[in-house]
Amino acid sequence: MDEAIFIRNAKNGDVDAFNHLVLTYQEQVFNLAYRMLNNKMAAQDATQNTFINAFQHLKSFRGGSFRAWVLRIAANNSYDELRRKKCKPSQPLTVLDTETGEEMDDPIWLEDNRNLPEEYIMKNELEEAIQRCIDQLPKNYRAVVILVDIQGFGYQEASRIARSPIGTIRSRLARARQRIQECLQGFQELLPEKFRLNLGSKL
Amino acid sequence: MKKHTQLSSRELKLLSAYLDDELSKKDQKRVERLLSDHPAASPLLKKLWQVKSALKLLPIHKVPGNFTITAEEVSRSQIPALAGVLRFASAVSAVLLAIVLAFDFIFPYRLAASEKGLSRSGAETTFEEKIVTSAEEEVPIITWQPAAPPAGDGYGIGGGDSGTGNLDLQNEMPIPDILIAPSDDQTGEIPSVAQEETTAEKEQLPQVVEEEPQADGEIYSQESKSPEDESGTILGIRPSESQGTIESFDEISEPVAEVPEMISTRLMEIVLAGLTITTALLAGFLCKRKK
Repeated sequence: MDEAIFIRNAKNGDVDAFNHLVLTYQEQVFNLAYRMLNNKMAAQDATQNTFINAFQHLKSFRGGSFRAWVLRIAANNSYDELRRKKCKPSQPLTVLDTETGEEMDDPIWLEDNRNLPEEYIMKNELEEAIQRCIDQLPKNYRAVVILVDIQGFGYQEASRIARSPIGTIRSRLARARQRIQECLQGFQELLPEKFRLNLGSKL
Repeated sequence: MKKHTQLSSRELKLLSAYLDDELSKKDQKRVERLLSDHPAASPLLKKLWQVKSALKLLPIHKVPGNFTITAEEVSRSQIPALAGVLRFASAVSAVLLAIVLAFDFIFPYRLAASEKGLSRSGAETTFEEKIVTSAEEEVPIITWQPAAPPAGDGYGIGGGDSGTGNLDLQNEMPIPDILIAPSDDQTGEIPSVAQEETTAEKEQLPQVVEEEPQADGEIYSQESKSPEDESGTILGIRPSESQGTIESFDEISEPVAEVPEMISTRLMEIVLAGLTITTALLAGFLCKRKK
């Protein structure tokens, strides 16, 4: 059935019609929230709240891209969650390295990976490294880089989701990429050969 | 070829957008020119491409479960919004209550002063009213009845009865505090004209003159009328006891203007306190119910 019909029925209070839309967009919403928050539980909560908020405020949807509209709500919910997290930072699980005595603050290193293939381990570590670099970005930069580089949206749709002009999207994306590049220099060994960055060159 | 090695932020943006194929034809040509002319442009473009490729390596996570919603979840999610409104109302009423209490605490003298001021003005008003009321009352007339003039000089018709005259007090009023005698000298001599007239009359007057009280030598109050004859009556000033003196402050009724003010202040405090507590309790109850 057409998306417009689901939206119209959902506006009239049809929860089942709205759930068709939920099933269509839940993966994109969840991944945006997960990359923004880097926390699975928080991302689930944010996704659930996004769809509930979307249903409650569906009458304010005036047409256009429903995906952009619902992703904007997801981004706003993620911002709210980040703000709360900033107010009440959670205590990370930390252990000390037996050799150096330094604090190891990455939970993924606590996993027992002895029985896992090396490629899988590398992939996980690479993902963790990239995610750490994303976490260091300002939240506006973070949303843009997730939308364009991870989820593959064009500048036009990213500007609709972020409610910012295309010039702003372009600027934020360029700066975000530059910062991630600087951040990833510390994780050269994790990157595949073709993605290894030239440490010597500066902008 | 450009000599400097640093790229501007605008050039960085152009290179980044070039990577995404989000440039106009004009900007694309500009970037291609930059890549051929600027030695730092090509390495930067490569680095940006590497970052973009690395980000693409991140997997798209599958959702842990469906996020479909139910009508119950929608209605339950409205509770926090209501709780938020209640919390806000509670906070506002608490602030207002604090302001009212602080005002009441810091400026108690204002109320007391206004109360005192009202009492004083009330007393003054009563006093003035009493004076006017007393003045409108009938002024007692004190007649002085001189005795028959004794033979010899120095016995005028001046003030007082010189120990021999009869003092008739109309209305049985006491002797006033202030009496001004018609004569101002020791011998009791009076001005010549008045003396001649009075002397002529003295011979005709009986010993006791009660029917025709005379008004000669009176000091009139503002309300009293002018004398029509020249008999030797003295208009006395009302005795102090009967004038508009302040009899007692106890008789002055207390002003009641501050009472509504006090009541409204207390009522406001009570209402605000009740509102604060009620809304806070309701908000807490709703939050607890949601959990």
